[in-house]
Amino acid sequence: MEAIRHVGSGTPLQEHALRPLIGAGKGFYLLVTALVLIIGLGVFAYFTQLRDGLYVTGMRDRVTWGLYIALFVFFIGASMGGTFISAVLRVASVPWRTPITRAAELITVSALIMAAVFILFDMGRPDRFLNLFLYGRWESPLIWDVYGLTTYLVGSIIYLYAALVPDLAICRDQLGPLVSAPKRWFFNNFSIGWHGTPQQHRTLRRVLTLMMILIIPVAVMMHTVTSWIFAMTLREPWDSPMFGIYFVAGAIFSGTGIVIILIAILRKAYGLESYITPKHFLYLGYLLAAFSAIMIFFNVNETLVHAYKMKGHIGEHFISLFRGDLAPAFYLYLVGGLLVPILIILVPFTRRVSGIIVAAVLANIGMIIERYLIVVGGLHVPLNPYEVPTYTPSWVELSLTAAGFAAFALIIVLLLKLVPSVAVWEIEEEEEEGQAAEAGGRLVARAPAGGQS
Amino acid sequence: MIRTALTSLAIGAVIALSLVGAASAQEKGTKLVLSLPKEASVGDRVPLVATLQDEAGNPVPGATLSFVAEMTFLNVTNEVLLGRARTDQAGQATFSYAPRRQGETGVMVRFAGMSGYAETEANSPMDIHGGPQQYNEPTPFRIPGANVWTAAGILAVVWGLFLFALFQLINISRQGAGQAAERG
Amino acid sequence: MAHERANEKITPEENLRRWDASRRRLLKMVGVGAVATAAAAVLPGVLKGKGSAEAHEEAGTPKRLRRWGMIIDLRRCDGCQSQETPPQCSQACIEGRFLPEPMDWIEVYEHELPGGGTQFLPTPCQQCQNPPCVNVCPVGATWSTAEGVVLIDQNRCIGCRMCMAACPYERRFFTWGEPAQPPQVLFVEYSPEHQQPMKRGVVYKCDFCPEMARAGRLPFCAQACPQGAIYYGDLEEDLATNGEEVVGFSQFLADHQAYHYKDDLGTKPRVYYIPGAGQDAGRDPFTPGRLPSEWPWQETRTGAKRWKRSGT
Repeated sequence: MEAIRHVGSGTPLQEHALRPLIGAGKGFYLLVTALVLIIGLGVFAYFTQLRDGLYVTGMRDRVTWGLYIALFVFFIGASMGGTFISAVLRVASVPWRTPITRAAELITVSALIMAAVFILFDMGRPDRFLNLFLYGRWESPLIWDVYGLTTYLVGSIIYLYAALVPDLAICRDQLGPLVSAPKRWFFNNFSIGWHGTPQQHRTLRRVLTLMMILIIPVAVMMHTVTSWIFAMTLREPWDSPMFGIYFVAGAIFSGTGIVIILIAILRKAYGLESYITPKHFLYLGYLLAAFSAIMIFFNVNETLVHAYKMKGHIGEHFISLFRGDLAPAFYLYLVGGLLVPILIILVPFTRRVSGIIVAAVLANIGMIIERYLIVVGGLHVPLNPYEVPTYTPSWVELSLTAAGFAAFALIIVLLLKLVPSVAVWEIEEEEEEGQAAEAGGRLVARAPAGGQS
Repeated sequence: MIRTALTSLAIGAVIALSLVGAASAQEKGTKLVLSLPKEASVGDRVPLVATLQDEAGNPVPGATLSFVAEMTFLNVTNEVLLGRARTDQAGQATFSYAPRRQGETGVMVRFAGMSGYAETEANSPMDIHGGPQQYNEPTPFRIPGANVWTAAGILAVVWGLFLFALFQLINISRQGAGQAAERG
Repeated sequence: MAHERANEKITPEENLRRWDASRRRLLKMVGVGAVATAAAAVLPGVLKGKGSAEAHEEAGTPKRLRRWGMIIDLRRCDGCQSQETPPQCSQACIEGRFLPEPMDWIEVYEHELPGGGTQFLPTPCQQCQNPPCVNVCPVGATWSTAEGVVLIDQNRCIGCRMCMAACPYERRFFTWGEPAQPPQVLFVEYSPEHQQPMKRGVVYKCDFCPEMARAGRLPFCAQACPQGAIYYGDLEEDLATNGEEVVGFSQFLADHQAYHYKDDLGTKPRVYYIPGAGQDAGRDPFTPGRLPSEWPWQETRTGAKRWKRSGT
């Protein structure tokens, strides 16, 4: 076991942020092994599904979509939270964004990949996956989703990469002899000759400005289009124009939660306490609370407006939710996923880093349940006179769920071995600005991200 | 006394018999006079005129006439009701017929009887020629501009901007190369 | 800024060579990406799937096209209570199309009437003219023919089941497991019009038996109904028959106040219902219940995968 090598002539920030890129400790290998084992279970489960067909799941003709589609929607929501938050914070030139943008962007890329994977799990004939591109019909909401996902993924990768270039240059300069040859090759080439010249900075700012503005409507469209998969059907709880904004709000909500969870892990694992401060958790916590309030508003709105009239079969849907077999999950989502996070953040005693992390975890568990309730609850309403159908996920679905989350984590873990966990150059830039302002002895207005050279 | 009773009995019988006679005389015979075109084409709308008269030639108003024809569909042959029409004051009923089936069609007009009128029927062959397509679904409502080109356009704009961003990143590499060459 | 640190170990010429190489690589990637992007953006419009109704019409024929439709006279349907068998329409379809359990393409549902009592509603695919299933299919595996029949190409279906989520009548069925079928079906040449032999992982539904209609015969369900409640017809020739009677399609509908099932959804079905509760078959509307459908031919296949409509 080699001694952990020092970065060298780097600043303390670089020391913390870049050390994980040099080598891997016991913890890393343990983590990766555990994740690979879970993914292995998922591979076995998927092999069973390929051999026997979707018969091995709990889905049947009546409840024809289940855990796979619920998780697909959840991961799309998680992805939107990532880049969207990073882009919005950058557009608003919020100064405290710098340590969290990298984590947010990594979440987006990984979550989008997992969303596509879950769609693949759900297909009855995955061998005909290419038909989506060869025979795609632009009238279909699923095709909107396919092209939206591809567009958002490419946009997120470009955005992630653009903000990454100066950091890769730092890695190239600082870590040259300290890392293995493939990594060195990666740093040398993918830093595309960044030397921090004013001209290069101008160009980079242009790219970042373009991407940060462009990625916001793309992200919003992406999740709206996902909601239209449900809203374009004639099923009662789904047939609502409100689905678009409802899904977007839910996405930002769960995405914020995942960012909080990831930066908490990074903070502990890489010793970044000086850079990811309680202030970050506090501000993200406020964002979480705000979107929790928005979600509560949407739920109240939808329930009241429908339940007041009890038109058609919507009454059966509410009986299912409030009193039927979906009731425990529904109350867990409302109370645990929406109310408790707001309370945690409002009550000063719980408004601390650990409390906010708990709120983020609860929020995400709540949102997974909420996606499940939308998908499965919508299919629970009988369209003909028969008894309310049932759905129980099978071991195959649960294994693939676990494997999906493990893969999501694994992608991020592996990416963190290639890129710094925080945007080192942006933090350094901000520090220098702060020092210059102090030296100048006056309040310096934070320059907007797209303005200065 | 017996003579009076017998006479009144005879008079009663005569009255009764004449009443019965009158009653049976009210179930009048009827006949239908048809004025149907000999031929038509699919897509035409032709009037089928039928006049209902009693045996004296008086018109019978307010009677419902059925227009039927024997047709074959999917190898099943049976009588099909084409429509109904009521006779007016002149005893004339006009049924506006839009034939849809090509071929020899024996149209029969049937009067099912009414109080005081006997039932009757009459037929008249018609030769229906072919014609254009009759049943078309209404053209669906299309939102103006919502087509593949709008979607492709939006995608093209977004991906074009992505390409622009990539080219800018290439610029960075070129600027770096120039810089290094200078400093070298 | 602070990153102008030359790497002492590499000469400027070497640096220049490397950046040149990486730039060329990037350009290549971008070039390929651009072509792929342009193709991907245009592909769906250019290679249009079978979503349009024109797909199966022949150009330039003056022949009049059939417009198939169905009328189900509910005054005559008693759910085969009087026959003391499962509904014969369902059974005929199951046997004629070798349906694996639990597929019941013309399922007879029992609806409660607002005034009390129940009515039986044989519910085939409604063959909508504004079909939600066709609208949402991502690959064009389902389409509406010019004759108005909605068909499925099981060779293109990817099994995403969006059509099943979209159908408001719940008339589409999925082969969750390998569908057990009798061996003679393997000699049948596949066509979307009879959907045999069946595959796993794709969607099936009532196809209105268009091949039988073209051959001058009624669909299985219409042939089998002992009360003659199911009429199959052509809206173009305006005729319909149940095997014994022949009626003028539109005249029959108007004379008996025919309606559509779930008309308010705007799907424009080709299946019409004449209101009733089986009275013409001698049924008392207050006598509920019918025998459940059976899949007798499947008894001959051992180890056949059976699944239920819901729940495992």
